[in-house]
Amino acid sequence: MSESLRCDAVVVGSGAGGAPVAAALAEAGLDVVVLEAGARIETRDFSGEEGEMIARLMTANSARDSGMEVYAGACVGGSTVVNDALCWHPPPEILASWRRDFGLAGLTETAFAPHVDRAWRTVNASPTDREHLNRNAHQLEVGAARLGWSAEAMHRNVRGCANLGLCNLGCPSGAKRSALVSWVPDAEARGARVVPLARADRIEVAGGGVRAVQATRLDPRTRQPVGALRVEAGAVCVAAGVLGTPALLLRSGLGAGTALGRGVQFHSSVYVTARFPEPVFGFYGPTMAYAVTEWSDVNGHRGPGLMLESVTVAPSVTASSLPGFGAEHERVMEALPYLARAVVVLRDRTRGSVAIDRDGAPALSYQPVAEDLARIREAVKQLARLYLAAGATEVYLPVNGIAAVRSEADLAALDAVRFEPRALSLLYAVHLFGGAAMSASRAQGFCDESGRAFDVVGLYVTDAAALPSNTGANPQITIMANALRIAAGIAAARGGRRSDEVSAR
Amino acid sequence: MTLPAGLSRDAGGLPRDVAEPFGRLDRRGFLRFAGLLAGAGVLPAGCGGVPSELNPPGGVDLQVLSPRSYATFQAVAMRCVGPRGAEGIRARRIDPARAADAWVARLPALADPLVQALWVLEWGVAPLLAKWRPFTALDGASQDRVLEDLMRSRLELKRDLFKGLKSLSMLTFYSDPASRAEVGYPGAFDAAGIAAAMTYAPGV
Repeated sequence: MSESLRCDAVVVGSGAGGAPVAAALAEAGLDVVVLEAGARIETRDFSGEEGEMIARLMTANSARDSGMEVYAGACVGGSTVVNDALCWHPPPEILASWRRDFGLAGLTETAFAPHVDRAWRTVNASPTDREHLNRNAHQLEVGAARLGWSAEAMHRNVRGCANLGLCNLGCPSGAKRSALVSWVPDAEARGARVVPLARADRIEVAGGGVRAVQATRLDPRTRQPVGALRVEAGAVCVAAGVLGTPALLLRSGLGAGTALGRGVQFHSSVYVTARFPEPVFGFYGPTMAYAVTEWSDVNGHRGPGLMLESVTVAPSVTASSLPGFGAEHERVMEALPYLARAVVVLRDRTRGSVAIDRDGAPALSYQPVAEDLARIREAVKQLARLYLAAGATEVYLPVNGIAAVRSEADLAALDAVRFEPRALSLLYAVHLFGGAAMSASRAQGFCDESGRAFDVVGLYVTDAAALPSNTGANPQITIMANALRIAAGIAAARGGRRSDEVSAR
Repeated sequence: MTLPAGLSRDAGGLPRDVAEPFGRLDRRGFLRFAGLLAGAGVLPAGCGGVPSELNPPGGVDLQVLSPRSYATFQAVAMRCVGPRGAEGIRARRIDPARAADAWVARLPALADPLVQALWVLEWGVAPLLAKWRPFTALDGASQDRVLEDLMRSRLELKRDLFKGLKSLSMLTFYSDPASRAEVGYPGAFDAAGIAAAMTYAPGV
């Protein structure tokens, strides 16, 4: 079966970088079609069951050299459905580095401000009050206070949070204001058409401008192809993720002479788990809520790029991330209600790349540099110190073969370990950036500061792939604000300044 | 970001720590190497007796796993989750192999790599794996030595084999309400538990 659609603008992807663009362009009067490779799973279908929801909502990949793991949302709403609802303003220092290092002179705080405000309001980013700080977060708070480290409750995009502890499984209460329940319905209310299970395969370019997006319709059960879809449009906004966006552009034969596929950065992450004498019940309450910012790049701190954040103690993910197996692993799991857990969010220095394999699928390369591994080791130590200061009786480090830590002296064991990705029980990328970045230079990026591809009229990159570097903080607001900023430029173009870029129906 | 299932051998729809080790195993030819060894007669042939506690219960209609791979998964899960968890599996209160079979039935991209990984674990012998007999025929201590060797191996693909099987074992085991109850997790919507998690003296 083959279908075709025509519209003014097609948006590939419905997550933080796609759904806001769809809403903004629809609001500006454009006829918008959104292509989403994942299924549409509504709030009423979020069961709260880890095994079921992980399989239905997420997808996985990994770096082919280091084995570092990557996961993302694979549904309407994208990763906003499976994230932990954390919101940070774009760090001013990061914007300054983009202006300085990538020639993006227009990316000022002033330029971002209205779009940050809109994103902040739309998803209802709001302070986390005491009623929504669980014991798991409180242990981090106690340890940081006793050590004199800067820490704070994070802002979250929720309304009426029921403390279910299921933010990252879609949020069955509907409190989390993911794109699924905010930007997507906003866009649809203004006439945008969202097409789930439509995988964008290739962008057609003719005469130096975009012409259409070719997509494959997927069976909802098997995800096997069941038909073809061609969407003709004068503007194409690519927001398929840091793996998917470069892969789509490369499959389309674009990017020659640019840095397409290069410059990918992560926030690398590992987990540290601690046992307390009193119950923590860390599987309930917000999955993430509190952060140690002492070594971060936010709120005026000067690095070295480490954020330590409380994170859920849900059974399956906790069991998978704990080191080892067997009786000792079981001993720790049987204390599940007494466990607290935190994640290191590292602002990597490493740069990786995305290519495509012979099947056209993304092929990620990312080999952490020694400096990043050293900072992860240091962050693990600091978290262990924090938990011991908070009163933990044991701390479990994310390294296979290291015994539970019961005192500061035990941490010396970490120095004897060759700290490499595969020595860790789990090392993964919690956030990804770049690969089709904005830059003033073709040697550094794929698009200019308006998100417009250097060589193709009407082609834009609007998701995290457009960001020139990582941000050092949970990035959904930065991604949404940048997407809105780019969308405003497209809408303005339709007003006559660049009418060649957006065709009328 | 969504992987196009038809364009990729990667396993969309699985948690990161489960899908990728299997994906890499398949891509990098580790299993083809094992197949070569088998073809050369290095690996044992035929099926030895599998302990009855590992066999699928009567009436279970497996969709992807063979009875042998079911038994192998059950055996590795029993070692991964620890002795009390293993007792729950042995008593058929929890059936991670059946859950794994249901998962991979929904995710064809993962089915073959999982079956191949289980085949290697069951039939692989020294120098590939630290054993000379089928995994299901070993006693618990010997099975642990095999898994320890995988976990600590200098060969990344052996570590991938461990990581993938461990993660899928943990996921399928702890997704079962019976196992969750045993570790003190009452389920997702327990009002009393939620209230307790949010109640504490706020001082630091």
